[in-house]
Amino acid sequence: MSDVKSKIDQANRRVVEILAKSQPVWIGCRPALEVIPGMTRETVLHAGPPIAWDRMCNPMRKGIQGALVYEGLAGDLEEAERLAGSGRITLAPCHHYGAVGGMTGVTSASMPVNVVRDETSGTLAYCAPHEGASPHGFGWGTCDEATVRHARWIQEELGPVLDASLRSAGGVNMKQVVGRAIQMGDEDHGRCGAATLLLTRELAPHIVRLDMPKEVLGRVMDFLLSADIFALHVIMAAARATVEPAKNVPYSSIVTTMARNGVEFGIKVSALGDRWFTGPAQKIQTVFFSPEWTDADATPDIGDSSIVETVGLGGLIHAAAPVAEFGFGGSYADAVRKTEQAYAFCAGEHEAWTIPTLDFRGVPLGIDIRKVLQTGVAPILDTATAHKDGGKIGVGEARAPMEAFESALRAFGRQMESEPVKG
Amino acid sequence: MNDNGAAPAASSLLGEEKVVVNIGAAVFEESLRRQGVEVVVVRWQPPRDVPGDVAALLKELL
Repeated sequence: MSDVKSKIDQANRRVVEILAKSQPVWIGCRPALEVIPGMTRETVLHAGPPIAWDRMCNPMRKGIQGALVYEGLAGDLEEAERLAGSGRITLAPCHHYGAVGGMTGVTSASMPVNVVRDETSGTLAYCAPHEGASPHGFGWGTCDEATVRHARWIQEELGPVLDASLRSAGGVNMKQVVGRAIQMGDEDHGRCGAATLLLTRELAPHIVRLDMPKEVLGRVMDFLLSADIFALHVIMAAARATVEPAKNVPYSSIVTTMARNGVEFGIKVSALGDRWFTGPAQKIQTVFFSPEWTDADATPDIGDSSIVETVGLGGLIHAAAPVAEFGFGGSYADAVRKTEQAYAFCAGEHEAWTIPTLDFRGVPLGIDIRKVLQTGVAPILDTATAHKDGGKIGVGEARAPMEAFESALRAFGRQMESEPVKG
Repeated sequence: MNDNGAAPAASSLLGEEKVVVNIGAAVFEESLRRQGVEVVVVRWQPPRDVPGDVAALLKELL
């Protein structure tokens, strides 16, 4: 084996180890302005790689307009549209602020965000709470009165109760929660029911003892018990904290970020630091919630939630969640085959997260851009589908576009020739 | 073809126990398995059309 190949393989083993050794702990739920470094009252964060206002998809534009009204920066949605395009508001990817966001990823100053700290590296990461079963949310690209009302409830009741109960609990170790949830049938992206129940079990004894009005605590418990997928946005923050120390490892060709903004899909690669490599956001193979909707109504793949595939979950481990595969019209054999494909493009396996149906084999970990291109198999991204005019209309899966991996490999090749030990 | 150069009767083919080799599309494999037919699977898909410079880089780096 040539010297460079051997160095790449060695670096990739190191990155897999960094990812696997992470100890993300959910420690709080605080207003974005208070905890996200660099956040301002005039900043709105969004999902995916950078994108200019006039190129954004409709749900993202509507979510941002809604957030500007919500924050009192605009009097109505029309004024918000003019303001967003004026250049007086900072519109930036969540990823540039150490954060991630579901679907549109819209996060503004007063919104609470889940705070996760990786105890191994000390890295902090943030993600606004999942909006639950409600079809109204800036994350879904809606901005009507019900959306504002629900966001206000999250800010005034859910966030403070979660934060106080987390302080009382001393945090919740997300590595343990995810490991156990996988064994209970979650792939921890589209299917998070077990993780949500485990988080609720951790917090419930603390919630009921908080010195807050009983009605408020009751509403929070009702929300947690109705929002099967609530855990996803905590797992996303955990994954965001996990990938940060895996960046800038010289010679490593492992993917450290995957994110979409509804127009473009982007990746980052360890040895290449924080550079984005993009391709077109893909069509989602969707199971629609209602026969009234078809592919023509759907926004292409959107959201930062694919950070969970980056750490070996979601679309990489359908074998752990055959029920989810069945829900998409697939079989158990399909689920196993997809996971076998993921092993083929990953550099290693997780030491603590194991898949019962595969005789407790570790989940595939460390997506290697070289192997993605060699196998010709792009990672599957489990996801929800947003209506082109906003709102959640289904769930499904998309494949990452090969163009992003090709341009990353070209840059990686140039770096191997010129300056391989940057970082 | 049999010894006389004629195709075997369909009834004889249907009556025999078969092992099927399935190459590629999994839908055939699953359908046969559900009918109790033994299937040997060869995972294969048409090679993806990788741009020339990417193929050269893969040779060098993988």
